[in-house]
Amino acid sequence: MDDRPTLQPEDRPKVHAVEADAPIYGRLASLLRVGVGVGLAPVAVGLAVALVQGSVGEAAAALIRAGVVMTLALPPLQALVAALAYRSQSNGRFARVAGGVLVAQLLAVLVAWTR
Amino acid sequence: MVFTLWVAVAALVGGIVGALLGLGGGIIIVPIYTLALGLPPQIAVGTSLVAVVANASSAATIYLKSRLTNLRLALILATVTAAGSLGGGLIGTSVTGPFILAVFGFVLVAAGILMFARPERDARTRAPDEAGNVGSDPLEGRYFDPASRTEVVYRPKAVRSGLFLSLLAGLASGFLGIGGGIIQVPVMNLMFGMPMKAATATSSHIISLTAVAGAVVYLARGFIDPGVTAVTILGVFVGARMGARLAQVLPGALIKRVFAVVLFYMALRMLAAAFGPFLS
Repeated sequence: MDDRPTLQPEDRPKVHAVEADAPIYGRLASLLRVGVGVGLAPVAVGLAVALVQGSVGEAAAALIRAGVVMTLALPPLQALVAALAYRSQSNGRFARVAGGVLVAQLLAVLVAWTR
Repeated sequence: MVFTLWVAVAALVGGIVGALLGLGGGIIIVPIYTLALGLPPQIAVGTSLVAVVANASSAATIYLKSRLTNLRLALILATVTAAGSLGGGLIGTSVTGPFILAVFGFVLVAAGILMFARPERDARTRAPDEAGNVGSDPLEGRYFDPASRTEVVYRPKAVRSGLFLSLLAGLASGFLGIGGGIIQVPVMNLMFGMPMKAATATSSHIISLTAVAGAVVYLARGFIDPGVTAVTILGVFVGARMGARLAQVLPGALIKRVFAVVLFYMALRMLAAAFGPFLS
């Protein structure tokens, strides 16, 4: 039989928000570290191609645009990862807030490409 | 080739200054690109926004690891800032170049005044109780400050009243090609009572989430020049790394005052470029 006293909810030590969010901080930092590298690589290669050719040709422009698109994809990915992470912690409130950021970003893409 | 070198130098300076002051760098890049290099304002703004996203994302990595970022507050403010950035981008791509120059000039004047006169407010911090517990505020922030070798705990206050200012920061971001930190950082430090380092880090994270809304508008409308953008992104990235190291050794007050003088000079040049044709 377990003789340990059972803590009532009001007696349990409160977990600080930053401590509770520690795994989310880690995931976002990793995502951004990898994502910035993935976005910068084609930009650097495209610039190198342009410098060698003496002007920004089709290939260089395509590489640079690919890098730009990958860089601009990072913010929505961030918001999505944050929303899913908060949801997995049963923190519905901040899952919705992060989801709201994602909706605002996707709305921007929709408005930009359809207007 | 000379033009490319000047773009690289401008981007490097933008990255260094941005990192020193917790900004995205656009507030330096856009005036130099338009005034000194003769780029059309919409091209300068669109290019700057893409570089700001890359720079802020890179900085956010470091701030997240050190727990300086208040992630929950960043997400709350990012919802309204992103909406503002979209609106700013739509307006910015629809108005004339001189109009952008004029608005930017006035914003630079305001930014210069803020930089020159704004005291660095010491945010009120509270220590955890003896058991190590803290309050139940979901926005409470905590980080270890190596400079003071203490754990800093703070509670942002009056967040709702700052939402409108965050919307304005987003509008400025999308319209002018800046990150918006020039508005967000003072709001968080002076209005919410956050420590300066946490305000800077959280602002950087907000920018990494929201500048994309304006950048996408400029990309869709063809205002992103691949060559200029490539040099700008890489220049700002390298400059930000250098600026972050310089920030550790240079006195903050001196940096801000020198920068304020530079902002006033650029404001005068932009206002002259915007209104000059009407006055002559």
